[in-house]
Amino acid sequence: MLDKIIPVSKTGRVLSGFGLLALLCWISGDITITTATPGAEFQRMLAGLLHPQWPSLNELIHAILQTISYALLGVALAAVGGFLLSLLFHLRLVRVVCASLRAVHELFWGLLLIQLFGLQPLTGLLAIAIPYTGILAKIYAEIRQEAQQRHKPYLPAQCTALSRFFYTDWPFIKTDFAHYTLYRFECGLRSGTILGFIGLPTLGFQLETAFMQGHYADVTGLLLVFYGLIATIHWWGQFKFWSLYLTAALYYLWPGMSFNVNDIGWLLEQITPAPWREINSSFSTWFYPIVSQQLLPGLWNTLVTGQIALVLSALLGLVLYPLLSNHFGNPITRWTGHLSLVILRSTPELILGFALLLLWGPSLLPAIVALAIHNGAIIGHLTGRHSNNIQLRPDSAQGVNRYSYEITPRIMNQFLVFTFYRWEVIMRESALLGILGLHTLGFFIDSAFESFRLDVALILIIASALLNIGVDSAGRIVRQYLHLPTHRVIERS
Amino acid sequence: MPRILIILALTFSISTFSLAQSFVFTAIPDNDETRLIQRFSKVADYLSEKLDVEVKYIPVKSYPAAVTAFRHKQVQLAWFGGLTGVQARRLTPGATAIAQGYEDKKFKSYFIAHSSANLTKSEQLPQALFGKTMIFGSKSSTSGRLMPELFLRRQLQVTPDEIFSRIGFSGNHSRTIALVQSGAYQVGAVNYQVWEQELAEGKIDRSKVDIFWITPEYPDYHWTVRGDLDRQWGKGFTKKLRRALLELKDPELLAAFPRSSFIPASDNDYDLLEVSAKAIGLLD
Amino acid sequence: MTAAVKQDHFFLDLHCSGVQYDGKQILQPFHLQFPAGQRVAILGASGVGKTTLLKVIFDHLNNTAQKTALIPQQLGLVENLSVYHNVYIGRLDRFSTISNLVNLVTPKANAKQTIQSILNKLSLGNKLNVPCGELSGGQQQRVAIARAIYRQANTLIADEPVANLDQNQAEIALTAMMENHTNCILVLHNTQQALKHCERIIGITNGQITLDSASKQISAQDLTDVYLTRDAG
Repeated sequence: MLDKIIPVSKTGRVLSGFGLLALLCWISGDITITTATPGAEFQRMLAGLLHPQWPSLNELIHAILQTISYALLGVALAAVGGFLLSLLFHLRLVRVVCASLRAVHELFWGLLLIQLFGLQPLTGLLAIAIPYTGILAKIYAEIRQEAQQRHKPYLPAQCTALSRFFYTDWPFIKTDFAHYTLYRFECGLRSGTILGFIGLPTLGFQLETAFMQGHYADVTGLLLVFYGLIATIHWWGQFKFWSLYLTAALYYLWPGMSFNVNDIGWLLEQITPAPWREINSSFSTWFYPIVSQQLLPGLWNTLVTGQIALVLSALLGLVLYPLLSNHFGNPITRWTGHLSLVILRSTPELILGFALLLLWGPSLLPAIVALAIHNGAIIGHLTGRHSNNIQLRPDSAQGVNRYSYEITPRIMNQFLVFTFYRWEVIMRESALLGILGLHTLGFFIDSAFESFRLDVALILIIASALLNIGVDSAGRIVRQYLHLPTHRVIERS
Repeated sequence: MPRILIILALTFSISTFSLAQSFVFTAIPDNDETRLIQRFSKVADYLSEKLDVEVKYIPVKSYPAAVTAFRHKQVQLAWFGGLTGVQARRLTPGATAIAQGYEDKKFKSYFIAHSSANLTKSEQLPQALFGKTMIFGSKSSTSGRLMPELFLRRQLQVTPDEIFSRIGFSGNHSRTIALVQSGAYQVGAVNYQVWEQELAEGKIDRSKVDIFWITPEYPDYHWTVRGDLDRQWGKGFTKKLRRALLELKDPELLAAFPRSSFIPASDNDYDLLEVSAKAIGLLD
Repeated sequence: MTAAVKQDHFFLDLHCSGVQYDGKQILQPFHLQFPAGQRVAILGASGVGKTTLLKVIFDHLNNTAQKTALIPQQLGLVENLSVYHNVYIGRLDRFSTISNLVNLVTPKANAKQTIQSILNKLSLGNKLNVPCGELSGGQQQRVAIARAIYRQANTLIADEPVANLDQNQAEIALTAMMENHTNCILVLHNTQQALKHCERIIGITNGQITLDSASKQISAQDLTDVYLTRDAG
């Protein structure tokens, strides 16, 4: 019907569908500002923001070293594991395993592994290594596939897989591998930091403590350190230093590592559903309340948060990308834009969510806005950089006209690729933000761990993983429907 | 390459050495989680002197993390909240409670409310609570969750879900006070010690947030040790440790907890908490 | 040189001290005057500096704030937008930003009518709502021409605007361009078209203007010289 009045393209239909869904979610979801007098808290935050403070140098260095060590060892392990798995990526089983590994957020892995290893380095580095293995296997496999397709026509048909790999694949893919692995290292730093929120001694540990106590000056100081680490990573994180770093990290963390084989048995027992461990108890009377009181409400809130956050991220990305696009502003505005986007996208959403929760009180709103800011900044950054490839006519329009008629339509496809690629990430993070006390899946998972009901926790984690796998394939279907490229999007910062 | 091997070998030897030697404890105080290392390393020094072994303190963020570290032998002695201690002993065969704070024999929680909730001090929990928003402390906190919820259920005869329109968990007591003071929640339950301390420090504006009900008394924080201490550190080590704790009189060290002194305690002192936790479904 | 015309009758009086790029001389210094109402064709082999000359001319017109329509060689169409919107881009500067934004969602009726008639002339009548990315090369070229015509500027600057069109379509398109602009400067590769539609021919060889005369006075030899002496410099 609508087509008759206004010509609506496929893209228009899909986008208005997503917009409508988000609107429905907004109306039916739990979204309010509950604080009656947030002014004082806000003033304290502002004051803290303007007067950063740092904990003792000794503690700070310790926290930084822990964060970097987890990230380094975690990503190095994931790179090796991911590379090996990528060679077997044609097997369906391997693909399914990898999808499951990366569908569970590293913090949930952390909560699970803490039960197995306790508070020690193995927990942290494996919490990073396991999901990252799943991610890297997929990316490596895609890079390799692309290389193979490109070289297939020139190669003698009979050459062995190994010689083909070293003669054509490897020279072609090694820079892409390196780039992506370094990007993952940056992500690893972020993951390592937020693992502090569950008790590992990284920067996040001190961040959360400072937040909890309302010491916002310390929060600002720690965040500045964190931004500094991320901003200079290209300088200190280069591959040529890695062998040195890895040795140092291992040396640093080794004394804390320990493992007791019996704990595996203990964990297996604990994650077995309670009714199967005891005689005479019925599975359904145990399972039904979990589904109705935790799983379904958690899923619903996660979906509501994720869908609204997706649409808001996209809108924000569209608003933000001109800040760093060469087609708008001047070098000074672009530099400021670049800096603010770096800050917005580097701030872990858990930290943003925490701050907003304090200001607005508990509803899904803080989570939605935190996710939108973080992901919107990422989408804006990627889109803005992509827009720099466009060459305009000498007589093209300026300002808003240029934005709406020249640049935005041209970057639309790539922008949608970036956005739909974030869909799954946003959903995973929506579940996670429940840890802050909003009733998404993370809340119920965290509660299950707090009462040491690992069987319940596992069921909820599996539910969140299935949700992510579902959203991942939905994203692929949408991209196919819109004829968008379905291959990898390498995010580099 | 050989250099790396030497480094690795060195690391191995150091790690086994350090693991075998130090006695590790942790403590989550009910207030002010900052600068834990400075505050508790003095306690570590005191214990080290009394016990004649190297004692290390490690800071632990949350109750479940502390319990897990305890279970994994990464911590031999822990200053747990009432319910956490029960959980830790259930998960760690052989572990026992050895001492508690003087104040912990008769602990209590305050129910506090934002001024806009119009709740005045009363003998019983008021019916006016229905429909309000409520913030507990950490999910497994005794004074911030377990006991307040127990009394809510006892007096109002329904579950908190049926009483309140919204329930949250702040994670710690200072946050609970801040969230009720800002009006993010109308009602909160808080550890009485934290309230008194923050009141003394001038962090509380009683025109915005005040107490409207005080719970009956119950036992709370205590020291729990693993059952295998004597095997590892020599016969009588647990007794020696307990004596060291009971003899701790230095106000500066006690201020870290903060308690006026430590008194003997045993597992049975916490039966009430275990029964309560089972009653409200926090333990199976 | 063309007959003397009074200064204020020139729509363009251009002194240029030459153009260099990467230390290479692309254009030699020149002085060109274009009387109002004149249609000029620029001829020359590829790579001799025609596009650069056109750019110098366009920049100069822009700096003197003359309204100009431009058809660059790359066309500069927005593939994701419909033909209607691409043509509308020609008049973006004539409406308020708000009205432009609204037009993205609900096209203006009168603009639609005008654009439809331009497209009809260029045999693109049925493509109004088709995204430009779905058109063939020749169709896209005509969209760019439509955009220039819709702009309603006095002066048209075009770089090989009919290169992808067949004889018949090229004829229609050139006629439409000439009808809608008082002053035209076009780079063309077809000498017949140049002689037929333009009064004046400028020939470039190796960055130098080697031919500048009225179409009527031009000989076949003059034209071949422009293309042949290419390597002489």
